[in-house]
Amino acid sequence: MTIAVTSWRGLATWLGLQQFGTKMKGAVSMRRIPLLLAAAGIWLGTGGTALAQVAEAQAEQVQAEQPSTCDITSRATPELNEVLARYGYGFASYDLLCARLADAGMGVSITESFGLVGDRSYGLVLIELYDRATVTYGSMNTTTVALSNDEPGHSADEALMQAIDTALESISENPERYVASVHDEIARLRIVMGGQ
Amino acid sequence: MRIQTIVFAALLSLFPASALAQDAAAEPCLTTTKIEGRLNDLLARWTDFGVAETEALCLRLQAAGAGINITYDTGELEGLSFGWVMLRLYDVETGVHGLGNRASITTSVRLGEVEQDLALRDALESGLRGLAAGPDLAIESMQEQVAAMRLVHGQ
Repeated sequence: MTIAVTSWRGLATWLGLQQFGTKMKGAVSMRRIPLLLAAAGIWLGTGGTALAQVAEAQAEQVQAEQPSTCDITSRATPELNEVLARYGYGFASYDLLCARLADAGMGVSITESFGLVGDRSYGLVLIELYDRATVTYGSMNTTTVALSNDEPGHSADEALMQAIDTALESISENPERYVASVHDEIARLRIVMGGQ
Repeated sequence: MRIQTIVFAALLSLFPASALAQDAAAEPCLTTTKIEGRLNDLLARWTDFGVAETEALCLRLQAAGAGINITYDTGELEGLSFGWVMLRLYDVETGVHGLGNRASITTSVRLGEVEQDLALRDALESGLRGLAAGPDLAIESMQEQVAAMRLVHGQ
């Protein structure tokens, strides 16, 4: 598979931003194709379905297909859950991240967009951790985009999984920052919502 | 922690004249946004940037107390320049995001930073048009998430 991936990690809101390097998986084709300028825009994962319905349908899904004894809990749209069930996670540090998330009582929330842009398949994800008990999202996230080369046969599903695996591998390199952002957000919301 | 909300003046061109602005003395509609990094500079540079459809969106978001969090990136992959955006609504008062997102990506065979910026601009315009075409579900999702957080973290 020759899908190039770039990863960008930052704080979505008020904590600032950090830029990280590009990651590549597989061989990279630099073959040129004729002028291509296209835009693709959809409501992520909804495929025209009402967002409220999607939000309701978002269920915690345990990826039981992993050979590991540890399961990463995720929140995603039904459409994305289908892709996850079909491919499973494939990033190297799965066990490491899974253990840390389990210990922290957290899961990963995956927001995605995937499809065709011009004649290329793409996958775009924004991943953040959330507290499973309160379903509170951390303010820190990682975004990754994967784009296929111009050879036929690459599906958007593959690009999407490349993006997901790259993003999760990136998080696993320093999960403490993401875990801390969830704790910070819980503390902040308790103040904002008047709970403390 | 203080919630930082950025009312970015350059976005005035995104949402130039609202219905309220029929009265020349009325304040123009400004959408609250969170934009980090280079896009702020680009918007300041794109003096002709505008999405006419967002006039009504600005009023709708203001009425709902919502802002737009714009996440974005540009670069080059597989011989293409690209720019993408993700637009997420958030409650300005509490900083809580909705679960709905609008994403848009644009690619170009021409390489270089200028092309990447153009791709980003195109993606942003596309994303804003999409959001303007149907903000209600995104607003509803945001309000549901705020309600859930009040239930969990409130008294």
